[in-house]
Amino acid sequence: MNPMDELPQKIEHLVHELSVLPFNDMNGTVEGPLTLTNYTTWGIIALVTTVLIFTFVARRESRRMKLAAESGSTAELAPSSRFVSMIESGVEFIRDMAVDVIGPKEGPKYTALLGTFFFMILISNFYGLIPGGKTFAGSIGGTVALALLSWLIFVWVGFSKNGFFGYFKSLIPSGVREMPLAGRLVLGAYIFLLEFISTFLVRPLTLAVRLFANMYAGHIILGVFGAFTALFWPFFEKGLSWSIGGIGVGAVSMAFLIIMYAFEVFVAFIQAYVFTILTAVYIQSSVHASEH
Amino acid sequence: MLIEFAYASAEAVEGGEKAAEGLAGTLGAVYPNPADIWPTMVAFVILFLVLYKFAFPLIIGMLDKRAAAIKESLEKAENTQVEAERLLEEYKQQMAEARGEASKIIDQGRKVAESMKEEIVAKANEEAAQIVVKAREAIDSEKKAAIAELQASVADISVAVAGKLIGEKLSSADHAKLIEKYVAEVGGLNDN
Repeated sequence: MNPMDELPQKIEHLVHELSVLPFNDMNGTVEGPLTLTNYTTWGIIALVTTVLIFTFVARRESRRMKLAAESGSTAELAPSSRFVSMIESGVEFIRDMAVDVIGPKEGPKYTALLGTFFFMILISNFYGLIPGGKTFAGSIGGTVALALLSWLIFVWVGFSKNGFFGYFKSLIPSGVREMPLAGRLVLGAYIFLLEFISTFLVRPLTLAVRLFANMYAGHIILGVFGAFTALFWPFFEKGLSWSIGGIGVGAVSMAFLIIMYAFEVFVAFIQAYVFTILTAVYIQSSVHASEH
Repeated sequence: MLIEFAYASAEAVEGGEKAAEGLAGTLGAVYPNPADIWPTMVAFVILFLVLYKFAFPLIIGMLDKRAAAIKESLEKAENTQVEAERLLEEYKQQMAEARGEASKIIDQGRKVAESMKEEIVAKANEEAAQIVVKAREAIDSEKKAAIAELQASVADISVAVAGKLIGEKLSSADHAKLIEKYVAEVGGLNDN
């Protein structure tokens, strides 16, 4: 049998596997919002992991700071292990991002918030790369949830920092506000409309879709190369036979699978970073809305 | 498609369960399933609380404390180095001074020794000269005494030799008699 005949079935199976399903029943459908899905299950696993990691590191830090205070020796403040150092540099990375983007005064307040976005997405994305694992960002529901939270936060910051009308007013650039009345009305209304759509509708939508599409597409690519390898190297596929050309195609697929796997590790990090830094930028534009 | 999606979404929000079922086939992955939305939100809030209340303050506290400790250590090290360099310079200077002083002392010592040597030699020379002079004087006086003694003994010996030659030992009384005889003879001559 031609391996390519099997491909559509494989792809269909892959897409089905990547859709939102009850965690314990591949062939079932999600009945209502209280069903535990495959994505939420892995999301909970990622959450527990993240909480455990940070609890462990924070306890370690507090113990060492206590030791340093008791002994008066600053040597206790040195990094204690590679793992703790790694988490510390992650936290430092987020803090620096918050300070760089939002500003030295307001930035540090949002460090924990941005860190939550970053580590939640990052650790979950790594779970998504484990064969059989999932990242909540692989389902649009998960990314919509985060984008909605990001949106709520930056809009709330915008209103609380600038006042209800102040925030809306800040959507129109100050140059337009100083124009003659006609210009103010025509251009102001036009820009207000654009900015309103961009701020209140496009931002959350793009946040959600960007993260979801990247993760979903990555998983599809890995799945397709995996399917190719499985079809042309039919160790476990009944009814398919080995051929010399097939071995070659399988080898190329395997090579691409490995390359794309490495790339997806990079994407997992980059997408967590992009989501976080965009949230930071949106918060920054809300904090300093009245300044431009 | 977009209208369909909007319609489906609206229906999903309103209808919930029924819409989700209906959409699973048509829109599949791009329909945000409420079963994924709210657990993610809850997870976010839980993680945020853990990080905000507990983990981040401690980790950032550690980072800040460590940064402060490192800064302090570096400053201390810098100060210590400056101090060390200053001390080294000071010691070097002291060393040079001490060396100069030492060579001065040695020079002085050498000079003193030299002068002492000269003095001693001069004194010795002088003493030697004195000794020579004294010795010469002593020799002279010895010589004179010896000569005087010799002269005395020569007179005695001559007398003795003369007595022997005359065959008569003249005593002092004899001397006197002899002298009287001669004197008498001499006088008798005058009578004739």
